[in-house]
Amino acid sequence: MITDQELAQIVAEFWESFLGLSITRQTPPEEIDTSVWHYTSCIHINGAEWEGTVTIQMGEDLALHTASTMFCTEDLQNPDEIKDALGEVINIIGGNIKGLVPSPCRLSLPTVVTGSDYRVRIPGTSEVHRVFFLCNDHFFNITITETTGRTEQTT
Amino acid sequence: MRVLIVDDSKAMRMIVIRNLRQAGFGDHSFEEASNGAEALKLLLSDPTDLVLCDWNMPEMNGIELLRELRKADCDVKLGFVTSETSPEIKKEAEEAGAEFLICKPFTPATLEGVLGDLL
Repeated sequence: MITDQELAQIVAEFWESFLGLSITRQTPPEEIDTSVWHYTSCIHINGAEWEGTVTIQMGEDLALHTASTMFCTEDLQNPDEIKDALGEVINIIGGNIKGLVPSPCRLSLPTVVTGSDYRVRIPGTSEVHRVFFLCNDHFFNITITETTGRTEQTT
Repeated sequence: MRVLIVDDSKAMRMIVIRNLRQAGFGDHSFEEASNGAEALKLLLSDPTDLVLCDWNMPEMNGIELLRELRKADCDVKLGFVTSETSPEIKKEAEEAGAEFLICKPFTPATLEGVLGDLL
């Protein structure tokens, strides 16, 4: 199964070579203020041998910066375009992670959630990886949860 | 030449077109569609030289689009630009008649290498 290092490599390759944004892997902050994760984007991988979810969480500033980079504009106003961009981010990262889990498996369409002071819970799963990164002084994290009981998933 | 970019993400359609221009294909005409169903309508009504298509999309996905085109006797050249690059996906794409499969993330050099003979 995928390691933290492989996950970090996939994320770094996407962020640095595709977006041209520099990131550094960080140790998890001692206290995490989950209210800053204004954007959550997730995608499901459903296979015969493995099933799980890949999630990315970040604050508004980094979401705007990431989306602006993807749209190649400094004046991104439309919230739907930020969601579009973050959906594509998790689609690419999820697709690359899918390549490391046992085949056959399928990738879902991405889901993007916005809001403040909320938690994301995926019933029937347990967290197997959570890796933190810093980009332009803003934290973001990538989480992989694994379905434990092979029951129906909801977010 | 007329090139159709099919992807449900507007950001990704822009990135593909930007990378195509950076790869030296800026002289071509680029059209966009946001899913397979929309692309099918366009392709059956307007002659197109090449389609760069995502795999996972709502309404009609990329492989369904390719099969529908062949069913309708449309032999437009179509390849996939997708994060789906498992051996099963590659085989499925090849068997359906795809010209290529480009993995996201990609670079202008990747596009230049793969599309050089087609554009």
